[in-house]
Amino acid sequence: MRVAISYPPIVNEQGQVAMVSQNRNVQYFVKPTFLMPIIHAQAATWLRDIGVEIKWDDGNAKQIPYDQWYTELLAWRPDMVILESTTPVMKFYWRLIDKLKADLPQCIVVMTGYHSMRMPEETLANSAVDVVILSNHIDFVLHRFVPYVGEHDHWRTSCDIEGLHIRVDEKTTRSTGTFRRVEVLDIAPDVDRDLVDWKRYAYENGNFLQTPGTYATSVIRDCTFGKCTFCRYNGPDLTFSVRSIEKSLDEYQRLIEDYGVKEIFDDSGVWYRGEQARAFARGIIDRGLHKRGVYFGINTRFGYLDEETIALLGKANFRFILVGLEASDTETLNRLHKGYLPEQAYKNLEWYTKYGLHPHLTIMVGYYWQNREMLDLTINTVRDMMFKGIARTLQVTYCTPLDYTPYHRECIEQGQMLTDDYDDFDMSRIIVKTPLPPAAYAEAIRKMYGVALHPRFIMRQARFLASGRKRDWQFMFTYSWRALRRVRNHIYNLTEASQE
Amino acid sequence: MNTTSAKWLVLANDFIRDDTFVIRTERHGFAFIPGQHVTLGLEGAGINREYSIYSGCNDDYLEFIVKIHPGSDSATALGALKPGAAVALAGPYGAFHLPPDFNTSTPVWFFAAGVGIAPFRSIIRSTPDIDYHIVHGVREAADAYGRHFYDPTRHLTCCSRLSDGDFHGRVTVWLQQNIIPCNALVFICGSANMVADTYECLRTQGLHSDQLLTEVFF
Repeated sequence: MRVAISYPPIVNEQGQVAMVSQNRNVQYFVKPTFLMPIIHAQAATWLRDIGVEIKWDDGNAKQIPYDQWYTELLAWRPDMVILESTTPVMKFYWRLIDKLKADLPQCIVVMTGYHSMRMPEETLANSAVDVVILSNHIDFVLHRFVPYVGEHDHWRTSCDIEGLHIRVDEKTTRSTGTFRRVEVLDIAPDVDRDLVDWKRYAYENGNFLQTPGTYATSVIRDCTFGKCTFCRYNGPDLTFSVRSIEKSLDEYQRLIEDYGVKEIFDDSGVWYRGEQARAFARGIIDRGLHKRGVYFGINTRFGYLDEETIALLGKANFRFILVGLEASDTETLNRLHKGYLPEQAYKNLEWYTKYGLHPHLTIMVGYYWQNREMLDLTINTVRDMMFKGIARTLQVTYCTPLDYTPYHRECIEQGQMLTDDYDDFDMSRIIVKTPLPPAAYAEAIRKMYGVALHPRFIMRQARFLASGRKRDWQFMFTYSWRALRRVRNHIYNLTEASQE
Repeated sequence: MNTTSAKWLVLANDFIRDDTFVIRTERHGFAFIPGQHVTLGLEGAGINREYSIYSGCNDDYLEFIVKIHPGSDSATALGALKPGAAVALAGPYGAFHLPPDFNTSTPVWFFAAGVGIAPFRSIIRSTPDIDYHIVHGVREAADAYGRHFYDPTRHLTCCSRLSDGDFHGRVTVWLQQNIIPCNALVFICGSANMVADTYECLRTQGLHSDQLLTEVFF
């Protein structure tokens, strides 16, 4: 079997590239950020390990034109093409699949991603796709499914591997049931960095203060909490699973010693907590990896890491800590099922900063209930956190209902959507009814990003230099130009592009 | 109403084992579906933790069963709280509960490990007319928290360390010797490994994934 795991270059009319990876929010960027799609990379590794011929085919990361990407894919003559999608690019993918099936009728096209996972019938109805995978554990599904297809001519009717929606013939589709099992993650192999051209993802990524950086094989699939209504890691069929600490430490050591990686980020929805987090940090220290000049980064939630754990992370040379501050008012936090209290955010940020970590806030605006008071509270809280120096960087996006998350369904059920055209879901504009005009949310974004240029913020960053920490000097003098460029990029995408 | 508040007072806090306690708090009309969980932490502590609700939806208080694992500062601190102390609570969360269209004639099987019994007690306490069976995996019979609460003909302990329960061995060993009705709705709650292993046993018996609901405690 010849299997291509493909990410076509998707470029909009402004020449911006759609970043579709990690099952994360798709946004168009002039200067793209390259995120390695970890689970698909594990799938590629696993399939290769069982003898499947793999084409790692990320047209975005290769920075090649669409036509070149498509021609090369056809020339390779794959038996199977695996795609990953999300709401804003569904229509693009449906057109692509139809063209692919016309040009390569025998090729099996498999759709993955949270949108099609939630709405498999839709993709089967709107395209000639052969299979939709109903799980984000695509590596666990594919390592069974691909050999099965190779061994069974009548796989469309006989295959009973869970988590598939299969086109049987022109009129019939069938489901093999929900993929809901809890997997032992250690079964899945570490990402083979060479197979997936890891250096293509090693430089253009705002999460890295030092390069080359890379994403670790995630220690947790889905989310230990998994209840935030806007998030894809939410659903009764999703139950998080955890990778063993030792296996992950082995990978970190290999990345540092064999690949010369300078920064490692684990993009698990939420990283370890409690004793597991401490054991990991102790493992880094015991192996001496904290003295190699390499930084480590994670996603976490407010309320998850206590001071003792954060202190240990600081000692182990963790730096980047990405945490969602979706809003600052209690009502919004309740509606989003965030599971923490506003005061916990301050306390946690103070701890992160005390132990030398660089907290990065991810903020959203434009909830269909967000009034002036709520919006101002969020703006003022974010500015206060940045001026106090307890948050170092931030990103702000419009909260866009996507992928039939609970928030998306809630917006539909309550008649809050302004559009049902998936092309409009690219996060460049407000697509729900809001109490304030869209310009108010765009202005809020400008105000929050504008903090980066504010003298109070710059002065606070200068005061960090007194700590003598290398990372603070790097942040001030090496990273700032890159950050400013990204700020400009974000502001353009979220406030200017939508008005063109 | 579903809410967050920094002022939920502790009404009682009783250790039922050396490392396990039941903490009871005010309820203030807090609405939940039996089987759901909340986040619970000390007031102003900066950290919280998810705990399934142990009490029923008709009780005028909330209860949580908490096991203190080595290095668990949050649970240790909760265990030290005296009546009158305040906790921070948010929620409820989760879809680990009976489905809205549940037919009470459907047999329900609950598989729990340790304090993973909590959501099942809440469900049974709230809907006692369901046709349920509990298989509770513990180290020894004394760990079968609140066993007296359940109908003894519907409750079975699998003891992995001592042989003082109904069955000596893990839940998965018991499952190799016993068949679950093919039309059962099955809930599994415990550690990740317990959930994965139990799930696998039930799939091997022919139960469909749509019949199996899981909640991992961590």
